[in-house]
Amino acid sequence: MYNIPSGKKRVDILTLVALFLVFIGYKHARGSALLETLGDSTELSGMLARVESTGISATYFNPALLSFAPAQFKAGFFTIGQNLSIKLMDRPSGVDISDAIYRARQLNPDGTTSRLEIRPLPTAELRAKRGSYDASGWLSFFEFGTVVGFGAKRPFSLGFFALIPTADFQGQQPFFVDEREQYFSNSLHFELLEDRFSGAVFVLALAWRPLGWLSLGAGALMANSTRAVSGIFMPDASNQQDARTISRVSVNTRLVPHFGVVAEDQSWRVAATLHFPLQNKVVGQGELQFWNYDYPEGQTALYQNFSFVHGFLPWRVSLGGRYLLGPPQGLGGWLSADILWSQWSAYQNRMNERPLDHWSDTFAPTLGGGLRVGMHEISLQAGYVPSPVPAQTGRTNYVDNDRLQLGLGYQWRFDLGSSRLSLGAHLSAIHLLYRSVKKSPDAEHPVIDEFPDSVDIATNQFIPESAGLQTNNPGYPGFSSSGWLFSLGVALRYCR
Amino acid sequence: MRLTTVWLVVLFFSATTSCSGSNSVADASMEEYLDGADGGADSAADWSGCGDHCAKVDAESLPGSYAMFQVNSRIVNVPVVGQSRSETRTKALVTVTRRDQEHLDMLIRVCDLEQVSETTLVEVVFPEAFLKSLEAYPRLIELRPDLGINNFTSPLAVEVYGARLENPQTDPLPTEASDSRVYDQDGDGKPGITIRVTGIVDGEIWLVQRNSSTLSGLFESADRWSGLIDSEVEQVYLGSDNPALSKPNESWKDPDPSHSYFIMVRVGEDKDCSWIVDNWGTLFP
Repeated sequence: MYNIPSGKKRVDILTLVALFLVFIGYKHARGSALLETLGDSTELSGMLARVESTGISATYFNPALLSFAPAQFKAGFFTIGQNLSIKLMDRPSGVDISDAIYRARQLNPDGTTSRLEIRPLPTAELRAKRGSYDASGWLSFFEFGTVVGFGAKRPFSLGFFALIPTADFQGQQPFFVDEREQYFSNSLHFELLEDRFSGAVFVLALAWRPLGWLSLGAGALMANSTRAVSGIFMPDASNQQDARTISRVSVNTRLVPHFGVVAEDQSWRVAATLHFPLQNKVVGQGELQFWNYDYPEGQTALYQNFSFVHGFLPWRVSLGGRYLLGPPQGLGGWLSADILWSQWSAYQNRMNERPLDHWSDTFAPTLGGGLRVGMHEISLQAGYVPSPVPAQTGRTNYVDNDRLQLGLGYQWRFDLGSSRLSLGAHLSAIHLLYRSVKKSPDAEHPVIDEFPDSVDIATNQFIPESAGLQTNNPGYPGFSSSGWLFSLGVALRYCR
Repeated sequence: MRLTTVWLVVLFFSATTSCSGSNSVADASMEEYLDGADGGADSAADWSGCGDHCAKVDAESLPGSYAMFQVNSRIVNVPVVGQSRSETRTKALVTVTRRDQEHLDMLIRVCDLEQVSETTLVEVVFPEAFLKSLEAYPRLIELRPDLGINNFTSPLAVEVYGARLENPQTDPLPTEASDSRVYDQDGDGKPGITIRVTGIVDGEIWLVQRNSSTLSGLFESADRWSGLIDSEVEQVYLGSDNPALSKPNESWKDPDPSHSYFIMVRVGEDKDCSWIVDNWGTLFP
């Protein structure tokens, strides 16, 4: 681990703040789910960054650590592979929805009939094949940032951290977690992975070291709120491919705070963090106009509201510590541990809905350590992240797994003239432990019978295909999930 | 985003009209169904029958059973779509008897109804309960040799559905389901008669309706009659289980009278409605 270099040159704080504001101007910055999953992907600390980070990632994970990080510029690159598997159980016979539903009226217990309350499509007419979506693939990111110290004894440190995907600057691929997904991908999705990983992150933080052994830090991560209004005029409703459409979009940036505190002596370090909940909201309205149409009183169009939430992260609190083994230079090492509490019980999904079956808060422990030999350091982390998602025996299909995480870091420091450089690399492997679930009629919120007992609209005769349970819920009658995540990152750090 | 549905309910049926087997609004008019070169009536006013080309049909040979096919065409101003032509096609069994030298009596039993529109966003379905509730109704035929060989007319006939009116021809239709004149004609527990709609919008409509029509036609032979229908339709929606179907669309008679017509072909005395429906393609190829 680095010691704080002395005699650092001052970098103008205004430059740093201006840089942050420039990125605010982009108004694209969003979630940090990727960071929460992988930790620091380009340096030694890896999944223990809340305790060990000595680089720009402290800006996000624990801003109090900025006081102990060398003043630096850092640039890195990492890639993450998602090898994800969802296997859907075969559907039993008789659960498909037939096209008789187009001529059906629901049969009520009293013998009367009523309109169908939900509108599934005939199974054979679904646009996408069940389970055809595959989220596996690779994503790559650039990261860069700086740590700047101020004052003779460096009571203040400022950090800036940016993470930018090489492909989509901000990707959002929302989906429904129940039978409503039949109209779209007709597949299941990993709730806490996939599109939550795509998107940029911009963080600015300040650390204050009032005492030599104590550092306090506060940071802000940029999130955004988007409002989109689509105006549509349809001159002929019988030709719905002909429409005049305009779209108005406004994006507002919000700063989501996080805090850290670190206390340490020559051997011990205790670190704690608090991260506020984060969500990037997209709310909007479709304003639909028709030719020759009587709108409801007080309206000049038909309004269709929608709301999405992307990259939701709940309250997070961590507590961890590190113990140094051996002298601060030469041959030595360290042991670290951290536990992260996440209030997943407050989760809001991509459709801005709370899960029907409530999620649990989680405690995720991580252990690690490292070895230093001269200018070379290696580190190892192991963690377990329990899933907050209960068994999906009912209507919803939140796919999530307990995770076992392993990380391996390496760093080589070398001098170049009067400057000190370090080359870091990190490799991590995350195993999504196999999980299987079968739907149960006894679930608190069971799978919906989308084609309830019905009669033909012309003959009033019972429709045999409506007897019993019919559903297009892609998760019915059950599914299993597992997978691996891999990441490999490298970074170059320049310290003055 | 939830897309707002667009509805198209074109709902004017007439038990005095009858049906073809086509599934789209026919561009064909009456002339396509008439025999010979003299079948080109362009309007009811010009209707002149066979002229000199038809052999005179002996009225004594006309009584019997007939399958009747009626097409009643209207233009409907449909919100969000515009004007659209809509046909109500009726399949009926008709029993013809001789009243006197100058008159025949028809007893018409509707076997099936179908509504076809130029747009296909929705389909109107006439439930069997409604069809079964339709009683056979009489119609007078006046033999009119003064209009031409084999010509006939049928004076104004009025049918009211879903309401009992003291003066069916002139009393205003009830506008509220609570009106004592409204009754549950099809016995489904809903006021008036129930029509169902399916497609991009669906639901039930409870309504009362009055049809007023006259016929003018000719006996092409002792086994085949044809002619034009001149009708008016009044309709009041009493309710619906879908607010999007809460009021009827403005409509008017198709300006081309040849689009509303009827054809009758003789069938055996023992034939009933189910036989007519089953053999429709043969009767009216």
